[in-house]
Amino acid sequence: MTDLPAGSSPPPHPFDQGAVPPPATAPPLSTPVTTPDASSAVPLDGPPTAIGEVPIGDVEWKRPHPYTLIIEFISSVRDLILPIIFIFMQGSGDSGSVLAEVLPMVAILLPVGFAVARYFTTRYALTDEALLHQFGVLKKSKQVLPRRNIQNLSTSAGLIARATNLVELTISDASQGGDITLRLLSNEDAESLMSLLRETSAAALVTPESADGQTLDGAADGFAPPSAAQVMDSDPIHTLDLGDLFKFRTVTSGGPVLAIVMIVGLVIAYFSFPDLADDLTFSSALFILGPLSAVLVPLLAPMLSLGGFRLWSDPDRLRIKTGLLTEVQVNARRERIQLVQVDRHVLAQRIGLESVKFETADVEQGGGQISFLAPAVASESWTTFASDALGEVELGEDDLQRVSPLTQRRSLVRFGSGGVPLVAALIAATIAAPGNNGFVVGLVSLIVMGLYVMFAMWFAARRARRLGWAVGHDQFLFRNGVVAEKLILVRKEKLQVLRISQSFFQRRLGLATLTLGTAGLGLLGLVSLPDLETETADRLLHELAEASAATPLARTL
Amino acid sequence: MNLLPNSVKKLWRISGAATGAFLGLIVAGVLGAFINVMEFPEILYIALILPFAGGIALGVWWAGVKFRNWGWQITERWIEAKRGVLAHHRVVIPRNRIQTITTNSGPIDRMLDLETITVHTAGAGAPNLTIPHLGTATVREIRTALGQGVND
Repeated sequence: MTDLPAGSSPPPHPFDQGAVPPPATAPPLSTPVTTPDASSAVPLDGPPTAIGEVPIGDVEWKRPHPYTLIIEFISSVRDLILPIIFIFMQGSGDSGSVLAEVLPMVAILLPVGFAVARYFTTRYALTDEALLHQFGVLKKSKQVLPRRNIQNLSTSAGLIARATNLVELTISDASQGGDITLRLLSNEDAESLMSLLRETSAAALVTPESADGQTLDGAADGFAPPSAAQVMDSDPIHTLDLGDLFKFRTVTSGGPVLAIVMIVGLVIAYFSFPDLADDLTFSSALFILGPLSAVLVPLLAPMLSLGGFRLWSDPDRLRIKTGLLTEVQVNARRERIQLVQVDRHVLAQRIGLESVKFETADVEQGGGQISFLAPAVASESWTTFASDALGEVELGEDDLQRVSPLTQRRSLVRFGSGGVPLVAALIAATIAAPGNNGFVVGLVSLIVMGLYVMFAMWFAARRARRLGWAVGHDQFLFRNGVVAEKLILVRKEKLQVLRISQSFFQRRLGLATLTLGTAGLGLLGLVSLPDLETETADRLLHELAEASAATPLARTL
Repeated sequence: MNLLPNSVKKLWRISGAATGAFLGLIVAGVLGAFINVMEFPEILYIALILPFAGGIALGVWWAGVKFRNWGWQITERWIEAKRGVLAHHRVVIPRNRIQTITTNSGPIDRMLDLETITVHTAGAGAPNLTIPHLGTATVREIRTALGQGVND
């Protein structure tokens, strides 16, 4: 342990003198830690070192498919809509003048010119070392993405692109904002490019750090993984049942609960403030339209993005196609997967459905439908999908140890303090209600308060029963949440940062929250397990930190 | 665990006292308005010194506890920091997970020859580890120890 004195100049660090050798598996401390994702995308006039790090050989530039002009034209119209409207208005103001003849032409030619300029200033090239991308009309940009840093390849195609058999190809690294998006390529060009990129990035996995006799998916043996088209021509290992998704979203979207809350709120408001209700022409439509929209929007939106969801698995990657309107294709390399999360809503459990998600180290893929590994699948089937993503699952829910039983007490206290404003609001509504309406509002308020107390007791008891954790040789499994329960399986070697937090009340009860960070960026990237006994949290922190520290960085992203 | 430099205690006490005085003034202003509206005896205005003085005392006390609870260390395998007054936090980052180390120093930091160091890992969702107001020489030592100070 290094104890540098606080304040002024400390003595030289023991590691600098070689007094304490670094761990065998860690990178040498005398050299900067490799950051494969750093400077992967740089502006044209950026620091020379960024490009200089990647020796670029002969460059054969290519342009997107000519149909891209249509997409660029639409984008230009969208971007220039205000100037176009302004020019049209100017032109229509004086119908007899030359200006009136010219300005509409300008309004049409402006987006056309912009689209053409965008098309002809966009080009890409694949060298032995990197993928290059140049674009921009007024502000020119150049992106250089070293092939060894590629984390994910994904394609998407909107309605126009699908009609013309084109795709938008996104090549991602582990950095934020470092993605290269090539639009639009023909399916053949995209497939050929993906195939080339995939071979290089697979070979790059056999780094000096992983050259300890292990090969990753046989990359060092010259194993060429099958192309996306080859895999996707076969039958998927999982196809989403749209009916199951509809049922799943019906109970998990929160719409029904929101609708009930809105109806109860409107009833109380109607009886408490009848004059106000009359002023607002309180019609029966308000009772229907509000709750209806609250139910339909969250219910139907995912149907479009997750409709047609199919999952393929090949030795190298998981491949996903999803989307009813815009079809998104994701190719996630297994080594990059950080964790698997099972979402179990308490109501969805009643109908036997759950969702399985995953997260890679590609920070651009944090949210949205692309993180789904298997939406709305049969309960308890998560191990099948988790083993596809993370390899053999060594822990099950039977292995879970419960967190401290004091979590129940803590939960009840929180419900108690959270209920104060609710009770105050209900009492105020009862007092404010005129005449006999006070009885109705008081009755509804009593029912609401009774339900709140019952829910709090159920919630606290279930929380103590369900929160749990288990440590395996390579994996860490934990379960969190009550109404929307999450079961998370993470590889120990993927952990980047560990944190223990104790609120004032947790400290008094001897409890702590353990938070684990992986290289993922999205909502899943940071996961917490609350209300562990302090000693347990400390022990887990050390055990997991040791496992993480023993793994080279390159294998953790 | 290493503590922060002693000069940080003074810095935090001064800023704590200033913050406490400001909040105390707001409370005193509200109370003064209340006394005025309710037409209480004017002698009560003297009591307005209490929130002001209490705010300063609270700020100084808070700074002291905050300083005592701050600690950091570099072990063979990770860098660790702990902090917090009411809620306590402890962050551990394995050394081989470090992506970038950044330092920054404001005008007062530069006057006192201090720097704040932040250790970043992969994944923007993960919390960084920040150690505030370390001596410049200590920061250089940490950067070197963590393998990122070669070009300093």
